[in-house]
Amino acid sequence: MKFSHTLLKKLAAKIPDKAKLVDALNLHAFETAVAGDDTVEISISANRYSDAASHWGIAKVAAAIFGGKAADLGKGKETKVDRKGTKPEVKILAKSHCPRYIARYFELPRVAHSPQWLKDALFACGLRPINAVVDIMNYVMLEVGQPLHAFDAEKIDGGITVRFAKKGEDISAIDGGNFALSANDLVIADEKGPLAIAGIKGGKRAEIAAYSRKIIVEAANFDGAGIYKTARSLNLFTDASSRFSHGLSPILADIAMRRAGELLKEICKAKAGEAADVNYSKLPKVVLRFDIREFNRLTGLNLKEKAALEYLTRAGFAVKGRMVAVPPARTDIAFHADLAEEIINLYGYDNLPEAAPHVPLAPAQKEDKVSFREKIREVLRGFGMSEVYNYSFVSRKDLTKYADPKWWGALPLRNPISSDFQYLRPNLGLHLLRNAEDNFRFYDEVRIFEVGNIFKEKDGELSEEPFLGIALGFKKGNPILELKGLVDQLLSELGLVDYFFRDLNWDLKFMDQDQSLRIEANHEVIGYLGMPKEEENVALAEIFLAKLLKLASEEKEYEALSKYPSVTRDLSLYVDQLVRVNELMEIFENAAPQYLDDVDLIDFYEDQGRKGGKKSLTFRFVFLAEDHTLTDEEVGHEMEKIIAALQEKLDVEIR
Amino acid sequence: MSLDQLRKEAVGAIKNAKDAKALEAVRVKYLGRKDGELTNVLRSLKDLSAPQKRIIGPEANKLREELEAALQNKLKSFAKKATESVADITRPGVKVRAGHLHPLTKIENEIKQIFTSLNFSVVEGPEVETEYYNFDALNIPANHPARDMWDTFWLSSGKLLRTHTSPMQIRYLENHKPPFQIIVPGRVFRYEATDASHEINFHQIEGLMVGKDVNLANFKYVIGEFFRQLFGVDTHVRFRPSYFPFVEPGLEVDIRIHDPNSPLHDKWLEVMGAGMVHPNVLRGVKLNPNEVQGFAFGLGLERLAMIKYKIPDIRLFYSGDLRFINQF
Repeated sequence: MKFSHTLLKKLAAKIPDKAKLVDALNLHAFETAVAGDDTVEISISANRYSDAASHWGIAKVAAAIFGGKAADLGKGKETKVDRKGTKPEVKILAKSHCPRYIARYFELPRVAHSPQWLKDALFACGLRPINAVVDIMNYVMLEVGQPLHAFDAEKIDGGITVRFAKKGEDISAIDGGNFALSANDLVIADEKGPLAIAGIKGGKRAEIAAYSRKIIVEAANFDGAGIYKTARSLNLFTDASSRFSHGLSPILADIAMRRAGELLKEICKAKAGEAADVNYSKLPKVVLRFDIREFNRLTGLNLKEKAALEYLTRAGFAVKGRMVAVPPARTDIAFHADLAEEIINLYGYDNLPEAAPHVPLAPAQKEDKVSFREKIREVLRGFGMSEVYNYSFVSRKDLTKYADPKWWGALPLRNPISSDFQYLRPNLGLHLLRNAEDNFRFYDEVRIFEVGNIFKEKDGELSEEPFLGIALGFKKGNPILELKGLVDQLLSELGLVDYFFRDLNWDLKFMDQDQSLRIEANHEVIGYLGMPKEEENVALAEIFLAKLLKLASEEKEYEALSKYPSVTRDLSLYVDQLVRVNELMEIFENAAPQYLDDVDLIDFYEDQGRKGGKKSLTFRFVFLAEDHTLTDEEVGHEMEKIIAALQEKLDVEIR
Repeated sequence: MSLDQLRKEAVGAIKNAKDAKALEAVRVKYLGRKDGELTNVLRSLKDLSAPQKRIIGPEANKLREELEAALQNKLKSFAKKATESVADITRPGVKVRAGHLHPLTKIENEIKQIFTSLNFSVVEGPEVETEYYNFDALNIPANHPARDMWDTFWLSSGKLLRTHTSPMQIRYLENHKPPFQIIVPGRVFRYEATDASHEINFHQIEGLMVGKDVNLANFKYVIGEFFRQLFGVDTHVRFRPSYFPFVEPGLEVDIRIHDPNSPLHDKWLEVMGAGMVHPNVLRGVKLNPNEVQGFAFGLGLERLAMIKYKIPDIRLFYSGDLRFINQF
């Protein structure tokens, strides 16, 4: 909010130059910056509009900091009535939404222009002078914080009524725009209909014009929440609506009306008529009992009671013994902690000492899921993978490339920021694929992973799940087997004991069925890996971390080293193209369980030229006995069993 | 020439040979089949008398073996040098594939490390939240502009994407008895236009310490310690009054870092909102504000990472660009 330094100084003489004022307000009250020759920008916090969103309010804050007194606008003289029998007729139908409505009648010889000092104050605050009447309304708002409105009295038919809009009513606003109103919108109306949207904007019909001679000035108080809702629903945000939305004290209406009377008389030579002040009942006085022990306990300071109360007096509180009366405009003060804040703000945080807490020592712990993710990241980093972060949002296009958003269970946002960010991400893979493609511009090989939450809706239930996504992209060549090896090693590093890669057998619409596997452990699917559809260079894996965390619990345990040497045998064979290594492995394991310690595929090639499309495979078998050195004969016997089993089950040719 | 003399000469010559060629010349000179000096000695043995033969014969043969071995060793040393000279040690080493953690992970890890060393536990909360936890329970009034401080993404179910990590204050307070101290790292969301310092999703770390008399001076200690560990002992911390509905008093934390290489050197930087937990928040979770009190704070991870690593644009974090990530 913009403030005029000149006007502030007029209201509190001890205010120093702009730079010093800005520093002091920053450290003791509100975030403030210099914003022009005579302008300072002060961020009034949302709970301080009632007392501080005005030059008068800031003058009081500054006086508390710098000493001296701020002008007491609240004690201004009662406006002298020049025209009797002119009291405006005001009726409030929505009483709880309008806790006070003051209307006063004025007659003007002419609508003058504002004097330069007033124009300057408006300019400094970012407002444009219009005519003296409108300018005075704005000026008083800047000075006191209470929005005012002036109607041309001759354009009002009958009395003024504060009521909710009727169905179908609309209003043309002062500076253009027509607004259809609903029954939740409070209006100021006459017999003909709405004259103004209460607390937000005046209407065209009773607008002050150059020829206006009889006017009614309104200083009213409206329920903040109601104004807030109407401003939102009409999408019409004004200085007045902002002030009312934050909540103002009804006492401001009276102070502002007196100031308006003074200025209208002074500048426009107006004759004042009588005022109507409707539906006002003084708010109960808020008195809090100050407790220095509680204050020191909360802040860690060691102030004396007298010193603490002195700060409250400076801040405008009426202190009697330990009883502290809250100024009526301070609608933000309700608790002892609020008083503590007043004191410490003036005392200054720079004077607050640092003190180590005295608390019982309890072990600092990390939730399992936190340390688990840390471990995953470290393992993958060790494997040469780089970590990316992506948005939690995806576009409709990202999804429909593979399937309808419904299939994905993707959650749409009610208010997306743009179509690129319309849904919450239902997996990590979509973004990882794009990351890989993007990085191919600079890298031949891309090895990335992301750890993050995905979101899905199933049968009306929303689920938020931690996922691990891994993408491996080679500009030349197929990365799937490296990815499989990587996932395999990762799972084992994480302490997962029994897990299996099986045929996908799962209608993941974005993955190629024949080129993908599911990862199973403890009869549960804990993830999948494979080639996404229409993808030749990027392989993808996603692992469901919540499930994995539950299963991955193995502690490493020493296993005795073998005392006897192992024996190695290689076996090369031709099999049909369609025979898969997995099948062969199963045959080996079933055939020679006694001494077979390990089997590995060490060579592989597909011989296109050979009849029937055969492929050549070489396996390395490692045999080991725990209790003796294996003889050639024993190993030979094992190999025979294996070969026999192979030949029984498959059409193989041993090379 | 006596055999001793011959040995001396030959061994010296082998030792001094500069290369394989010179060594071959030495071999020919002493052991050459035609006219080697030792060869000649051996050849002349047959002309000696039997007793002389018995003395000189074994000696000469021993010397031959000795010289042959010395020649062999010398030759090997040349060969070794030859292969070594092929491997130019000044060439770059073989590249090891190194992975990289995202800078936000790096700084989050560092922050967790500092806070766990200060005895804070690390917990997390959901990203999809209810209006109750995100706003109501935090004393943020409905239909009041105060709520506009947090521009919100809404789901059709009426749930929302949390706009801060503060809902975890409530969730944790509901289930844990003070005293405790926690930090809550996590992703948060804001409905706002993106630019170099604003993103629609970003990360915060919430802190909460509640006990019988945990006070503002304690907060100043903890947070001062934290920033000095994160940015160095020369870091200055200051507090300014501010307003967040769920704390009272409320304040903002600024830091001033000492890093002459940074464009932010010696400037006050706003990095954190904080304050003493509001009595309404405590009452809401059935705690008595007269019996327990504490402080809460929230910091932006991206903001701290940008300061620490001198990153100019928040959008880089979500670019997935390895040219960026691999710098960390």
